[in-house]
Amino acid sequence: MCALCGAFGGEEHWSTRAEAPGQTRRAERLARVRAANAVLGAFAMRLDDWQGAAFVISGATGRREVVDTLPQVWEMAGRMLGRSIDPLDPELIARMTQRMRQ
Amino acid sequence: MNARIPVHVLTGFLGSGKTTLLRHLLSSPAFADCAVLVNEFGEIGLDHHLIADVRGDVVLMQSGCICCTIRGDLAEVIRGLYARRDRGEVAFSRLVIETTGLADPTPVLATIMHEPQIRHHFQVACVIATVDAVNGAVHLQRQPESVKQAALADRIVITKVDLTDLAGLRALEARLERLNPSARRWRSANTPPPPDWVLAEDEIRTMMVCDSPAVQEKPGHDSNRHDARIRAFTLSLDTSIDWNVFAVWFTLLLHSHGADVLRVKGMLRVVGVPGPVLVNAVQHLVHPPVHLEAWPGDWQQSRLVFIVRDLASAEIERSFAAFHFLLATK
Repeated sequence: MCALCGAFGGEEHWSTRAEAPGQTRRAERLARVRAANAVLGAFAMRLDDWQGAAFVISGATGRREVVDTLPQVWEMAGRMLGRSIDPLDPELIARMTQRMRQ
Repeated sequence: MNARIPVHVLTGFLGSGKTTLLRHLLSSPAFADCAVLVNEFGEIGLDHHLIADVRGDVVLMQSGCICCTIRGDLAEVIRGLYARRDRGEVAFSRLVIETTGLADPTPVLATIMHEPQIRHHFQVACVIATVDAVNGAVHLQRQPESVKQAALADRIVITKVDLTDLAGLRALEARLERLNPSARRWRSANTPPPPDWVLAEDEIRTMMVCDSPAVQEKPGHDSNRHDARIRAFTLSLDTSIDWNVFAVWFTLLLHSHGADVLRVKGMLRVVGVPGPVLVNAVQHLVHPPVHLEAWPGDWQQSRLVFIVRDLASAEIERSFAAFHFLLATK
């Protein structure tokens, strides 16, 4: 699976292959949405699950896009922002930390 | 559902002994029912003539370099091969793809892992790189493809060791250890590795190398050397990891820096999962994680070996720690 484009991902994306036993796939999926929102929230963006089959990413201007996999979430978020989200960026870590403390 | 056919990608710089190794492997019973894809590079097609008389289904690629120009052709050939197998025209249970010496093996891996039909029938078993003991150090210094081949490999066969001195050999091995501590190495002086060495599972090696001094070593300062820009380090964590947080962090890391994250390999202790989860990625390509029944040793610690180019290990460690601390479900 390509982490850049997420092409051909669908339900077989690697991120769904190590979920804990006893948890439903939906619960695990929602946990990924929560974690992704901690990142996207730093840019006034939001991710929602759509019936366990897709993700809907929303921007601050009201733009909404449907994507299938986490790599596609980051690709689309980058397009909507006009720049890539870098997890190594200290500014992002600081903003995430600040939001979690609120 | 049928088991997917293992694919071995054989790479290595020009003249480093790929074809010799291939001939050796194909002569063994373990590789008897093996299909082989080779590459005709240039007008001579030397590789093809060298392996034309070996057993196996040899398909000659006509369009030049597999990796640079004909990934579509490669997919077509593999699909065609599988269709013939399906019709009972050929029989094979293993596939070897020999890349050209000037190739970055990543597009070959991408073809196997991405192509919608191929990925359902084939899976990457390992990448084997040959490194010439006489010229390998020069190749690593001058040829970025050579560095990439060694960095992405699961197995490194150092060839022609009888033609160099011990000091030179040890220096090359130390360099390869810094470059890719997770790869198994074999010294060959006309003594290629046995097939078992190629086929063996390597989880234990992955675990053991995490303590290798080379993994902790600081990178070189000679920026003119191609391999000086590449470093290996271990990311380790004593507490269990929230898989979903890891998935979010890792997909984001690969999306933004995947071209420079050459290789990630290791085991994770995941919350709620009894055995370790094996993680294996090559740049943007992530293999499906593998669940192991039990930990191979007494300790149960998450350890990932990263091989990166122009990225600071401290930044990656800091980022992962922050995501783990901030987002993990308490």
